[in-house]
Formats: sequence, C-alpha cells, structure tokens
Amino acid sequence: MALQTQLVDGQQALDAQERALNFMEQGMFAKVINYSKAAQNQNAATANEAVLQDVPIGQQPKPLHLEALDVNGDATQIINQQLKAGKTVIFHDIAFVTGKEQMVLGFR
Amino acid sequence: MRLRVGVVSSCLQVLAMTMLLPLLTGCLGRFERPAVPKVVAPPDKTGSYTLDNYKSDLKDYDAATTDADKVRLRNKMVYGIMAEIDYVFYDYETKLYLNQGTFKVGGDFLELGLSSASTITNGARAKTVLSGILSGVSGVDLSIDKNFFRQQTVQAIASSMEANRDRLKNVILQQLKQDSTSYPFAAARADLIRYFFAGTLPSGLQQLHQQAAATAQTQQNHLNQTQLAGVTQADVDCVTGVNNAVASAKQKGDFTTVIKFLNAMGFPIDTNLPKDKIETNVDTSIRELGGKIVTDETLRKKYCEQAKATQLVQ
Repeated sequence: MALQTQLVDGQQALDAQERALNFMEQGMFAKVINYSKAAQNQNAATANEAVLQDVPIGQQPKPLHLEALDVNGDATQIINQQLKAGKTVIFHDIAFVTGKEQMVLGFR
Repeated sequence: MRLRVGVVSSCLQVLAMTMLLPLLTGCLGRFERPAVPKVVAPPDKTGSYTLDNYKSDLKDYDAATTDADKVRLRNKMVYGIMAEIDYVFYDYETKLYLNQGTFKVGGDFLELGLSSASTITNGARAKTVLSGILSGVSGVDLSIDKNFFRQQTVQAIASSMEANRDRLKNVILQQLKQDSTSYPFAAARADLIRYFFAGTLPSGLQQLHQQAAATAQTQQNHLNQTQLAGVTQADVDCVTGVNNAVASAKQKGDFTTVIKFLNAMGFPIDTNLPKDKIETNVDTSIRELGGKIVTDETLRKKYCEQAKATQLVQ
C-alpha cells in the first residue's frame, strides 16, 4: 500500500498531536507507521513528520495513543503499562512536544 | 632637434603599425580560439577517426570470432568516435559563446537551437564518422516554451550540456569494462548517439527545463507540507464517522450516500460505470478528499457539514 508523509506542528501539546494523527488516519484511510521530528528547514523548525501507509477501507486499525518522556528517559514503565492494557508499540522516536525534543511512543 | 625626434617617433609608429597589422588581422581571424595545433587536427586528417576507419573496424568487428578481438575493436571504435564527438562539441561550444549576443536578441536563435544537430555536424570532421553513426537518427525534439529558452544564459545551457555529456561518457566508459556479449558495439553505438545529442542545445535546454520543473515540484511539495494543527475532538469524531460509513457502504455494496457526499464535495462519481469501477473510483476519491482536508481547514469544515447534510453521518 502507498506511503505518504505529513507534517504535524511540534509546538502542540501531546494530546493535540494525538488528535492530529488520529484525524489523519481516519480521513486518509491510512495508519501511522512512524512519527519523528522532521528534517529541519526554515518552514519546519519544530515540525514532526508522520509516515502513513494506506489501509483497505473497512480495515482501519484502532486509534493511536501517544506517550512522551525525556529523550534519555526509561520507557520500560510506560511500555509495560500499555502492554498490560492490551496495546502494542507502533513507533518510538524523538519528536517535538510543545517545541521541545522528547521521546514519543505510539501505541494502539 | 625636437622636430627630428618627432619625425623619427612618427616613423617608428607607422613602422610598428605596419608590422603589427598582419599580426593583428591574424589574431582577429583566430579570435574565437587559439589555432588548433596541426598535430591535433592535421589538415590531411592523420590520426582522425574517419568514416573509412570506422567502416573497416566495423567489418573486422563483425568478422571477429573471439571476445578479446571484439572488445578491442569495439573499444577502438568507441574511443575514436568519442574523440570526434568531443572535437565537434568543443568547436560548437566556442561558437555558442561567441554568438551569445545574438541569442539574446530573440527570434532566430530559437531556429539555431532547433537545428543544432545539423549545426554541430556541419564541420568537415562531422561529415566523416559522425555521419556514419548518426545516419537515420533525427535530433532531439524540443518542446520547450520559447520564453524559457530566452531566460537561459549560454553559460547555463553549456553547463547543462557538459553535465549531460559527462554523465553519459561515464556510463560508456564503465560499460567498456564488459565483454562484447554484455555490451556489444550496437549498444555502444546507441550510447554514443545519446552522447552526441547530449551536447546539443535542445538537450541542454531540456535538461535545464527538467531541473527547473523538479525544483518547482520540490518547492510545491514543501508548500503542500502544511503543518497539521488545531484538530479538535469534533473533527476526529467527524472523520471517524465518515470512515465507518464508507466501510459500511462497502460491506453492503451500496455507495449511494457516499457518492452523494462525494458529489457535494466536488468529487463526482459516474454511476453509469460498472459496479467494480464505481467502487474503485469511490475509494480513490474518498482518499484524495481525505488528504485535502488534512491541510485545508475550510474544506475540513465543509467535509463535516456535508457529511451530515447528505446523512452519511448522523
């Protein structure tokens, strides 16, 4: 299935970014397979880039849930909590949250 | 005394001018470039790769029974032809720079560009081996806006031609490492023709045009990459509702409401088409529309309004 990329404003708080990703997934009939800070340029100093893959209509996966921690933080606890809740890790990478770099994890 | 000095000085000036005149006219005659050393381009064409050389080598190549002989002859022909192409190219490039003032005037320079293939082969050398490899080959079609041509400087076009030629020369030289089965002379000839046309105005312009188009596309892509922000929970609920409704319509095999919605959003679906074609068109259109609402807030609002108005969602 086709891949597309879309920038998300990294100045937003994590919950706003989570809504943005879920909005894109539902509207574009796609799923986010990666999310990280975008290559910096004048237009995107603190932008994050989502990579989306098309999904067949009717096979939309569950909504995404984002968690964030310090860049050098330990994600073990967060991952264990989400695994207990029946979710799996979709991506984990450095992205901007309220304009600052953080480790962002995506679960569904 | 002063008078005598003046007369002597005048005489010297006249003498100097008389002696310099033939040199000056000679220089003017060679203004476009220094004289080509006779050893490089002897008048009797010694050392040049002539059409007769080419015909003879080609005959030997066809008759050769071992790969080593074929490779040797192929390489000899390729290097010989390449040298001839290089000679006419640099000769042509020099003239191009000298005539650049004419180009800027407009009008007839376009004709020069269009007929550059014949311009470049006009030299006596070109009528030898190049006429052999280029027989039956027409020039590159130039479908470039005249205004685009006028905006280019000769320097830019020449650089573009040089870059094209370098790229192709590298390809040919790499290919010569292969045996005669993997890279027969017929393939080398095709590459040499491309190499020749890479050094023509239409090719240089075409390359420039492609670069300009690619740059514009990149800039357009950056513009399109609006950073998504300000998505509300209502927005998410709306698109989720549409997504579910389309999935349900697909399951039922009834796209009536979805088509109504797409029509309202400016994505008309032809309902006279076969069912599978309609489904494909709906799939394509709903995705395309979804991509647009991500970056267009106004359209996003209309999307949700029309989804309700057409009763796609409640």
